[in-house]
Amino acid sequence: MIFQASDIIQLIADIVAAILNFLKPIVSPMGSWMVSWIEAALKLFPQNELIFYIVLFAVIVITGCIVNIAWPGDKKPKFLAKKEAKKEELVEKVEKAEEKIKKKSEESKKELKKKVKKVKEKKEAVKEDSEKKLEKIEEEIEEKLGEVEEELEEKFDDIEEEIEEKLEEIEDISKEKLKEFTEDMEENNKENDEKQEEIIQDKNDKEKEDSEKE
Amino acid sequence: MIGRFLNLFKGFIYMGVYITTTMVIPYYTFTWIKEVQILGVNIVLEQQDYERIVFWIGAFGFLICACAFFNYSSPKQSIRKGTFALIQILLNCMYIWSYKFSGATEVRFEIVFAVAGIGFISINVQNMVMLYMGIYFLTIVLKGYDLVDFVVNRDKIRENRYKTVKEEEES
Repeated sequence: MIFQASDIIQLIADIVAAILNFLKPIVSPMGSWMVSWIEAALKLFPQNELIFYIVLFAVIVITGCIVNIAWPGDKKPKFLAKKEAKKEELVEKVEKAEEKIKKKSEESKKELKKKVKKVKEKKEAVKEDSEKKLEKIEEEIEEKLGEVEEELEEKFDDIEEEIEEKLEEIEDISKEKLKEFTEDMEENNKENDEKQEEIIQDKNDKEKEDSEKE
Repeated sequence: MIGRFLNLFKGFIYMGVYITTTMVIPYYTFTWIKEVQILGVNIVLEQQDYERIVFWIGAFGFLICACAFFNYSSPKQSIRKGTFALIQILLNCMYIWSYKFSGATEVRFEIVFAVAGIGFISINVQNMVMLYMGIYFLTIVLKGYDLVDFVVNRDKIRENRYKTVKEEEES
């Protein structure tokens, strides 16, 4: 009667009832199971002995005080301390390794610099040597070229001389041969003249004979 | 040092709250209900075990308050906090069962009329109890999950807690 007097309360009651009815098939079985175990558990609790509960209350509160004072949860966990110790060890190792690496890198830098210097020096030495060698080679080449030129000139002179000699020889030979040829020709001409004369004589003779005969 | 006393202080505060809500208020409510008058009609709580209800209010009230103290004074996300939160919920279930529904699913009120005599009002709260307990079951499942989570992720939680404490100290 009292609750039904207000419309709002009625409305809220209706909504709650609707929600409860909707949830009923899901939640009710859980509820019945809960009731069963609660009833079973309640039998274990001593009845009409409030002192027991007060003692239990005191024990739990005191234990809570002791436990939460002893272990408030803001202490550093042991595993974290171990972790940090390991971390520190690792960091130290890393630092040492870094230092070693730095030292090694510096040493290697120095060595590299030295090597670079040596290489540069060698380069320069090689350059100088090569220049000297080049100069020597050039000189040698020039010398050899000179020698070759001289030899060539000599050979050329020799060849010229030989050519001149041979030309002279050829001239002599040709003169002789021309002489011989001219002589032969003259002889031949003579012979031919003779032969001509003979032939002419013969012809004349024959003509004479023919004429005579006629 | 500050953290541990702050936790204890928090525990005592919550214990006070629980004493008020689970013991003082229910006790006075039931005492008031024992002989209440509505519209001039005396509605007397008929249950013979009224004293039993008050006893259970006291018994479970003490246990719940103790557990609440332990729960709220424990560090956040600690296993002991999870354990006592779960125990507290279980005790809450029994507490509610014992006093709200007086160990039964039917509450009977005796109505005493000045002239006509005696009548009865009987409220069947079986469905409501089942629903209520079902919801509590879900809460228990949640608390159980929390506890498992706290146990499984113990190291991580401790690490994070330590970090936050450190940060707070630094700030």
